[in-house]
Amino acid sequence: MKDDNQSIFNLVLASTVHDMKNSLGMLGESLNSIFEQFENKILEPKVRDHYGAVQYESARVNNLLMQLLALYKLENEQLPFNPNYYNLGDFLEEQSCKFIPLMKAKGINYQIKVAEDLEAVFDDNLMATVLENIIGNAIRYTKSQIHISCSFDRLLTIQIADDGPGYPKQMIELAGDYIQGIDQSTGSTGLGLVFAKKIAELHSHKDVKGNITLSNGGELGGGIFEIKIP
Amino acid sequence: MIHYSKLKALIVEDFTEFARAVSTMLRDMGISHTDTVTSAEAAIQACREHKYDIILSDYNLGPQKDGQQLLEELIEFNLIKPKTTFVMVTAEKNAAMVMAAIEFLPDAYVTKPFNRHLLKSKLDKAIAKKQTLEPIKIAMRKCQWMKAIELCANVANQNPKYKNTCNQLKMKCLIANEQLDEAGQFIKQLQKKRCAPWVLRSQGIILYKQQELDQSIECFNRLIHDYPMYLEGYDWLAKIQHQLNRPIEAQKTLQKAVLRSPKLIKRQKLLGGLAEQNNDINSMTEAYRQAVKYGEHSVFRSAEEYVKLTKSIGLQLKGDAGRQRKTNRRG
Repeated sequence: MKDDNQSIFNLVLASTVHDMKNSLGMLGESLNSIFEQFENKILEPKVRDHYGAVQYESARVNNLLMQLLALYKLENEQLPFNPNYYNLGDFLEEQSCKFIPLMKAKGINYQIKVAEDLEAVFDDNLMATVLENIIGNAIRYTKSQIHISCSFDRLLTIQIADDGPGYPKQMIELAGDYIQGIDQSTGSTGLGLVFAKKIAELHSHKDVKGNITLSNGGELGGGIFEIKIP
Repeated sequence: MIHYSKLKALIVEDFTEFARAVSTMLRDMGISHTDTVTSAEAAIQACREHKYDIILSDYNLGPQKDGQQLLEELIEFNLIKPKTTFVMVTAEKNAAMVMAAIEFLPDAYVTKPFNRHLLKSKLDKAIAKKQTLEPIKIAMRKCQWMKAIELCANVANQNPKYKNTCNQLKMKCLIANEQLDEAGQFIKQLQKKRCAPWVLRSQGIILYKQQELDQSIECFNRLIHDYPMYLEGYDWLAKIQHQLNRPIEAQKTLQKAVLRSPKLIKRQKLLGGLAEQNNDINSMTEAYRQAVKYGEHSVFRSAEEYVKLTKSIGLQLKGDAGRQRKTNRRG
């Protein structure tokens, strides 16, 4: 009986998320079409900011929905883990494509640095959800620059760096225990980091574990997020 | 650089608002000819009348055929050009991906929601890859294996990005041409700490063809351990277990695969046959029932699964009747 209820809930949750994602997609695309009519005109900063805000928030809701569904499935051991070989250049370009209209509107420059033929094993669906959240955050906090880079040395490291104020000290000090950082009063729940860590751990292979780290500084002087997987 | 203005596109999408949005994206990319249909059946008709360069199909198309079944039918009946780029649009990529048999894979997957930038990037890459690899594929279709292998080396040299795909195609040619020793040597070069799934698969097939069945089993076991959603690994494993006269193990292996994806009819029929051999009538009925269910809209349906389903239900009834009689006698 309990299993029955669970599978009904599962189905309802999955199809609700699916419908909401569809609506958000339509919303975003309609907004982009409106915005593109103004592309060659100079927009008032206020209008641009509003546009950016709607873009950002709808991308964020979409991403939160994906995380919610994945975390729920993970808890119930129903999350399909489907690792495969992927080209990192293609993969990272696709992740940033999702944010091009938003970055344009906010005047943010982004760069991807990765070797053309670098390939690695991961679940691209889950990794995409992680990166979407992190890149979205970087766009929210950066001043003008975002660098996405990737290297392979025993572990695959994907790094997202910005030139914003960086991660708050207490967040870095949580050192992995991000569930502690969930604070409903600030509006930033930190769910993205909890999710990122879970997904990194899911990518553990043999005795090598996946992990994430937060730091500040680097070339751009802002926040640096790194996800490392074997 | 891809000249989109010369290309014809077909959108298969039952959600008309979304289809309109995608159509606008394609128009903005420069494609002047775009048709839209709302079902797989209509798509098949459209492909009989036009030759499309790009097909964008949703995976979920309502109660009839789904996007994967559409692709299978188009390939099976030669309704699309080998050059046609087929992009599967999905809500959840993983779910759609495990449904595809390896010989019927789309050229790319794109997950909803997406914007024009993402769609263009996906299409740019899929079309460029298809164009670059086309000479190799032509040679392979003509079974000119040596020529294809030579072309693989050339393409890989000029495009380091496609090196892995070229290696994969070269391996296919070596196996198809029965050059098993060379293929085995090539595998050794490709082995790394973490082998790609296709490397493990090829290694398993080579070992199988060399009659090293125990080693082959070990290889396919590693494949399904490292890549549990790579369902072809289970099929090979079950085939070898069956050959080694271990039908119960083979049945268990296939049951693991259908748990992950019940839609492949061929696999359900194999499973049903094994269950019959093992006298496991309930599993037999279940497998053929699934084969009938998922075959309903598929080009791969046949009378066999109906006949077998009837037979297994008959056996079930007989079994129940037998038990009933025993109880009555005792009473």
